[in-house]
Amino acid sequence: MLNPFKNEAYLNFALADDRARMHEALDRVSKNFGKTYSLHTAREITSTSRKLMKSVNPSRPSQLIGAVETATKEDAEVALKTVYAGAHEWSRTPAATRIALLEKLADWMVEKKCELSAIMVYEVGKTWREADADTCEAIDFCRYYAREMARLSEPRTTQMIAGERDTIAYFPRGVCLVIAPWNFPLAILAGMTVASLVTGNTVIFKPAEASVVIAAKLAEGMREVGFPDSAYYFLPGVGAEIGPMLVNDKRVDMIVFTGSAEVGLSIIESAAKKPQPGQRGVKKVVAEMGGKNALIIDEDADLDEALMGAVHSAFGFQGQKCSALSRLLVHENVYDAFVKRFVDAASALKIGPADNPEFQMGPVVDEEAQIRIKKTISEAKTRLKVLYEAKDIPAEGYFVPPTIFEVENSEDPLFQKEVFGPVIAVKKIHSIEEGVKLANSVPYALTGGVFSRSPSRIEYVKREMEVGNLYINRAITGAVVERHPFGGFKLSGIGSKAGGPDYLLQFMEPRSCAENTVRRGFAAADS
Amino acid sequence: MMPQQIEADVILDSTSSELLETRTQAIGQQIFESSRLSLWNKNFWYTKILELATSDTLVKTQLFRFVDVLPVLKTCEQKRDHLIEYLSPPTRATTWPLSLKALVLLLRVPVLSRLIVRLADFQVSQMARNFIIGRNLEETVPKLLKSRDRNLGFTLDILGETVFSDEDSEMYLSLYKDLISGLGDQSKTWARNSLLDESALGSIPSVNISLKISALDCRMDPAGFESSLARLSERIEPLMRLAMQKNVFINFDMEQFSLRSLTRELFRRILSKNEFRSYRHFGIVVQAYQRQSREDVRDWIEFAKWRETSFSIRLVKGAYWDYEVIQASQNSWPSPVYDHKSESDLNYEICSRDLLKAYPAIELALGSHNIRSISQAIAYAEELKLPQNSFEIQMLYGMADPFKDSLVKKGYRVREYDPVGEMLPGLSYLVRRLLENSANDSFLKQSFMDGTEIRQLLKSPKGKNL
Repeated sequence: MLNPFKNEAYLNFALADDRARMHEALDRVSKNFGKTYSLHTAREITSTSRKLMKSVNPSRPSQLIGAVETATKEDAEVALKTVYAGAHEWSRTPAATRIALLEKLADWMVEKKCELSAIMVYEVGKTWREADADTCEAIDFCRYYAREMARLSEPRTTQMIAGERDTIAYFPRGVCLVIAPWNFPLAILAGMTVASLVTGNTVIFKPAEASVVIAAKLAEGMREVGFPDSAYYFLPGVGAEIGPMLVNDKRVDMIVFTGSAEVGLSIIESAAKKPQPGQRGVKKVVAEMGGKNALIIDEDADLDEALMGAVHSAFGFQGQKCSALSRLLVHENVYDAFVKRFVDAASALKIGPADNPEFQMGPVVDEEAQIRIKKTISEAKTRLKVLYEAKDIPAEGYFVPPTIFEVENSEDPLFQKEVFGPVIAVKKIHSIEEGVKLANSVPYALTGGVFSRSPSRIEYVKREMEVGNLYINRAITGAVVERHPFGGFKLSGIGSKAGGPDYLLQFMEPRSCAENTVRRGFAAADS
Repeated sequence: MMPQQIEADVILDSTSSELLETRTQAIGQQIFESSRLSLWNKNFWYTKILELATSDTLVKTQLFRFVDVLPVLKTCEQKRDHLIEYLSPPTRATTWPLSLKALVLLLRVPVLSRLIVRLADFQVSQMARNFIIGRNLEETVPKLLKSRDRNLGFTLDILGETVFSDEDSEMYLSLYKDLISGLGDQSKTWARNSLLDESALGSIPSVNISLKISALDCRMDPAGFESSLARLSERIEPLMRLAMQKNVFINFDMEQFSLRSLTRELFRRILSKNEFRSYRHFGIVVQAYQRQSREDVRDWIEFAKWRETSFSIRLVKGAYWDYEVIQASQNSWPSPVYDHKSESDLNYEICSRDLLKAYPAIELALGSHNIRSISQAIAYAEELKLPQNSFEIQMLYGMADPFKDSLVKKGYRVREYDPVGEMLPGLSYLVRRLLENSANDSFLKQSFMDGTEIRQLLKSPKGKNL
């Protein structure tokens, strides 16, 4: 039925054709700026009574990318009613139909691949490769979860025993609420949303305010490939305004969240409350929260490789990935040599508008982020030694300078708190054991890694480093669907890994069934 | 395994004839017969390591990984610990060479460990010296002159670490500058060697430099194609101008597939400019393991005809096979290189014939240690009645020396590719050579270690089982 899962191919910019495709898409998308999309099915509209949520290009804030209607509390109520009413029918739609819709959505995205990537280049400031990887990951989520559902949709025999048929089967929970971040505005949003749908839940998805246009595109795709209107509801809105009411509503059975630990924890807390009358049960929460990810450079590391991995992990998408490197722990025997080259490499990165591939770094997502990161930098300067701060930063746009600090005290906030920007704490270590201990000293446990060529030390790190995703002798970002199931523990999240074999199970209730096959001493033939 | 089909575009091989095949075999025989095959390698430890490595892939991985890490290790303790780790049988190993087990035991004896570590250190750097001509120019020049006395030309390659900053690339730029102008000046005093300093089209520079584009720009990225080209041109054109003044040959090396289109376009644009258009002594590489190499050849021939001044093409098989296959697999890309070595071998023959046919628009350099590949090209050149010095043969420093001498004796122009550099980058170069020389399908390994029959070695890649 379905062919085996294969990761979507990235664009290869070494090929003139792929470069031309990207240039053409950027050009075409920029000529279509300024459209407005409706709630629910993201239709293009020309007028509305609702307030507009406008999305601008962080590389050039005067440029409007597009707008969506902003949902009010009343709209949220309509959304809840719609998907609650649709839940019964959707949950009884054959899994094969739902799977086929995911496949169609993947095909739709493949067809619009460069356009979707181009939108993200403009809307959130991703460089070409980062945007392309985001789109490919979204496609992978659709294809992978479709295949996972095919595997999970048949009841499984638990044990063969005479006279009884014993099975376990998975049933949808009901209504899911997806609250998505802007940093993987297509991949994470699509991943959480299609996981909800393919498992038979209806879904409300609220995108981040900074990335509503790419989210509207996803809703458009869902409409075009034929997901029923009552199965999904695109609901952009101000988190503070509609978030709590959605999270607390009795009709919501599951909340799927990716974002900050602060918001995540408050969702977990509200969901844990005693069910209200009419609520089906205790709400299920899957939350992926932050990281404070460390990379250890051992004394015997291949420094060329380590540098490449460190620079990529620290500064890719301006450090705005949950998986981004923010702490570099360098062995004293290579500290001076490595740190000097790391600083030199950082200073070689050119910063500018993300649509121009001449630049390796773009802006941060919005003004709020810019102000917050700059404040973190200036505060850290009062305590820490600055090893590097970029000087050549465009004046227009939400740019922040990549900055590297040397940290001695591991209790320092820069070593402990997530910054979500291109700000790196470097610390000298005297042994691999110390490195792992320091890496583990934060509240988070998302990604981490080591560059070492000692087999025993690599084994030690595998055993002792507390991270959800460990990377050895390579960059610590860039998890690929199925290959690197992604997610952390401690304050980095609850729930099992996205893009992995356990993910869909969270969206369903397992029911086991024991059926007596004996009638008057006569056992039915096994069929 | 199922027998596999050779790719259709490789098999499309219309120009070869039976006569050519007979002649190829005969030339190959002669080259083998006049080579003194016992001279595989004088270094006992090197041979020992290769023997161990070829006995078992797990042993090979462990040994080469040790050689790879060694140059960054500073203290004796670090070296001892790594030696013990890498020479002990990994958990996956079912059998393990006794010699290595014994060595690990000895390493645990404090007095002995110091001695063994020093020996290992010394032997590895000796091994590196087999393949790296010198650490710097002072060490290198006397050796170059000695080689010239043996009728071996050279092209110099600078070994180095990856370039991450403008400072790094400035350093390489000035190294290249010094090399071009320093050697260019010195060479005026060198005794002329008509075998080396003359091709059928006229005199050629005795100084020949191989340039790695990636060393000259840390931000080089095919996604930012035009800006990368602009930066590279700005840096490389002065080098090429200098080379023209000093009468030095500049060759653009070809690296990973990701840099192929940039390297090609850079070369094409610079050579099209009026100021560079009439200089013959520029060259670029075509890698026959690339599926697109036939297009490369076609494009370059067309370009050479348009330019009206010849330039050189070094035809190699390509040294980044593993890397390309891994990159393609991890990015879900079709592999840019042929899956099987015999396909690359066959494609090499086809490309070499096309390039020889294009003479004098293009002067061909055959970069290969494979005597079958070389003999085939020689036979075809004879068929075309090309003068013996209308093309040349290039081989790596420290490899296939018996073949070099034999080809020189037959009157061909042979040039060595000489890496210059320090231990750290040198050892990663050494690991690549070790990998190459221990690979089962290595022509040199089959010739010198395995004692494969000459007839077998000279067989056409067309008839080989995949």
